Amino acid sequence: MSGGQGAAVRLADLHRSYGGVPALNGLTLDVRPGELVSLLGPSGCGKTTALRILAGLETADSGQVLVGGQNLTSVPASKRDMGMVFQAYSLFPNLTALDNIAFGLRLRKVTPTERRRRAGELLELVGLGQQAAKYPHQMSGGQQQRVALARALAIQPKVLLLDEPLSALDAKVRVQLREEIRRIQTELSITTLFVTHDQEEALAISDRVGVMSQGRLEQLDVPATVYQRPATPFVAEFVGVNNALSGTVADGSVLLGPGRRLPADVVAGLPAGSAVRVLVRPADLRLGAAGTGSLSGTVVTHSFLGPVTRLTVRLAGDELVRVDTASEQAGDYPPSTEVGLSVEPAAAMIAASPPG
Amino acid sequence: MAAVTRPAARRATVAVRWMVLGLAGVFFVLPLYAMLDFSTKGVGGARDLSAWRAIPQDEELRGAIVTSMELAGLTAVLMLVLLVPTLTWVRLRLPRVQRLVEFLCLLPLIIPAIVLVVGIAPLYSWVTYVFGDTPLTLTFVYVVLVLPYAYRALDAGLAGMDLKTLSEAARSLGASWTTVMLRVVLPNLRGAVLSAALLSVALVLGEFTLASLLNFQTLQVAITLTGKRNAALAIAVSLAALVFAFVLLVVLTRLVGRRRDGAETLAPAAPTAVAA
Ligand SMILES: Nc1ncnc2c1ncn2[C@@H]1O[C@H](COP(=O)(O)OP(=O)(O)OP(=O)(O)O)[C@@H](O)[C@H]1O
Ligand SMILES: [Mg+2]
Repeated sequence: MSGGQGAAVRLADLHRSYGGVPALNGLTLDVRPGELVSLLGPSGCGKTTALRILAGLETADSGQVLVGGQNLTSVPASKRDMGMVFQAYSLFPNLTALDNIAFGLRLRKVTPTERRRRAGELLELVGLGQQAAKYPHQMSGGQQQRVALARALAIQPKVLLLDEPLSALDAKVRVQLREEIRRIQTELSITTLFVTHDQEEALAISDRVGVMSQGRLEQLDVPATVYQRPATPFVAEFVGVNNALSGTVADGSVLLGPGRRLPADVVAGLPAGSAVRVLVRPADLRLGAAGTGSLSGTVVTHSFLGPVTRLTVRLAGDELVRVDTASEQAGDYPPSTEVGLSVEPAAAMIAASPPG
Repeated sequence: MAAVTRPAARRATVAVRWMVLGLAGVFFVLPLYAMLDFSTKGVGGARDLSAWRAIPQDEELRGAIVTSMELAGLTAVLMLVLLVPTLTWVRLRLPRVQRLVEFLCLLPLIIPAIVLVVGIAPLYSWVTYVFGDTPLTLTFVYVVLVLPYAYRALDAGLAGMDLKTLSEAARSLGASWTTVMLRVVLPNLRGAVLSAALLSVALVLGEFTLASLLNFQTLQVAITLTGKRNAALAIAVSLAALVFAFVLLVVLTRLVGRRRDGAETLAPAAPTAVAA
């Protein structure tokens, strides 16, 4: 296999709307050569649209697509040399696995022996050496997506585009295949854009993760940073910071309730008395006996997640929060127990409350 | 429907099935048998194949058979050339006009042949001027005539595959639109193309009204004329045409059937979960 095919990708200020409703709203994204960037975001935020515009399957209303410094905005899809793997199974039903992979090579006038050899190599690469003669309907979903990946790689694309290629597969195959995608991508050092709405998937295999919302990029950074220091409340929520406590700023700390102070040094710039939300992961809230900690409430439900159990706690102010606690200790707090909660100050994010 | 498992009930359904099959068989086979009987009837109850032997000798019939075969072939080809790219394009690029195209294609069903002829006759003076006075110009009317049936067959075929994803996959691999059509759409539409073609052939071979009204000597017109002087010969040709269409049907169904084992429709992708 040849390596080092990476080309830099630049999406510049892309706009696209459908019937007046914007799907992309000024998306700008730079991907470095050989890098795997995940686009993460909720359904309908424009991930697929961005990928399709990059592939030339959709046209942008405005903005530019540059690959390796070359402006592709008016180049048709068939001339862009991009390997794409779709969410839906997309193998040609009338061709065997091997012929599917060889399809692009055939169009490039590669000789039959050469394309059989290369297609065979790629089948080995995706671990399906034995399945060359199988038709798509004779393969499992996971196998079909592997072949689709091999088919996309066969043309030695400048960029590899993956649009939720794993979402139709069951959890175990999904984890296995995403690791394989990462291995192959690293091996070939091919610039890759990977679309998903599964944060775990994105964080697990990416060099950088771009979180999208409503047609634009909210944050683009390495997985650890996105996870630990989400740039906006939206990103925080998306990477699992799903408790929002309301409070008010009071001289260098946040007041979560009468007499309940959260020491916080990050309230910089917010005037005393302004309303804020304290965003915190379920794992960063600590359970204790009633009266301890900075919050109090009553346990409502338990849900067992394996090593941890997630408790829902109703706070005095009627807010519900989720708290993760080690499963061995969860038994100490059955439903309707009065508990105290403390917040890991370092883990909490402070966000200005939206007006109203 | 739940499967019936009790043996008695099962036997009953099997019996009903055979009865239906038997009745249908009698309904279809009896006239054919009568035709065979009539066309081979000799003097004094003996069998006589002279009517069958006369088929290739009858100049007029032979010409008509050739004409009808040519018409059937031309019609099927022209229909496919018109319909396959159009329907594919509409599905991919203009889904909004899909309803309109369907309506247009089904129109010939509700327009009586006589109206069609009255409408087309003036056009035909021009058509014959351009193409000469050959019965093959009937192809144009016949394409219109077979439109509804061919449309149904092809549309079902197109609906059965993930046209959008397949064509986009092919495009991203470097295929031009022509290549998409020839290498992706057609091979996966084989069954539908064969049935559309078969329907067209069968319709053209059996068509009488338009050919007769426009004064062209096709198989059915010739049969009618022959029937007036030699009934046994006319019946023999009709039966031969029926058998031909039947054999064609069996052969094509076989071809399609073999294909079907090889290519099931695409499995639908699981719905995208909504991340909150
Ligand atoms: N062909 C189209 N016609 C009309 N609206 C469209 C079309 N394609 C996308 N949209 C709209 O654009 C928005 C973005 O769609 P897109 O498919 O890019 O979302 P996504 O982030 O990929 O979502 P998902 O995770 O569900 O795949 C959506 O609101 C969608 O309804
Ligand atoms: Mg999508």
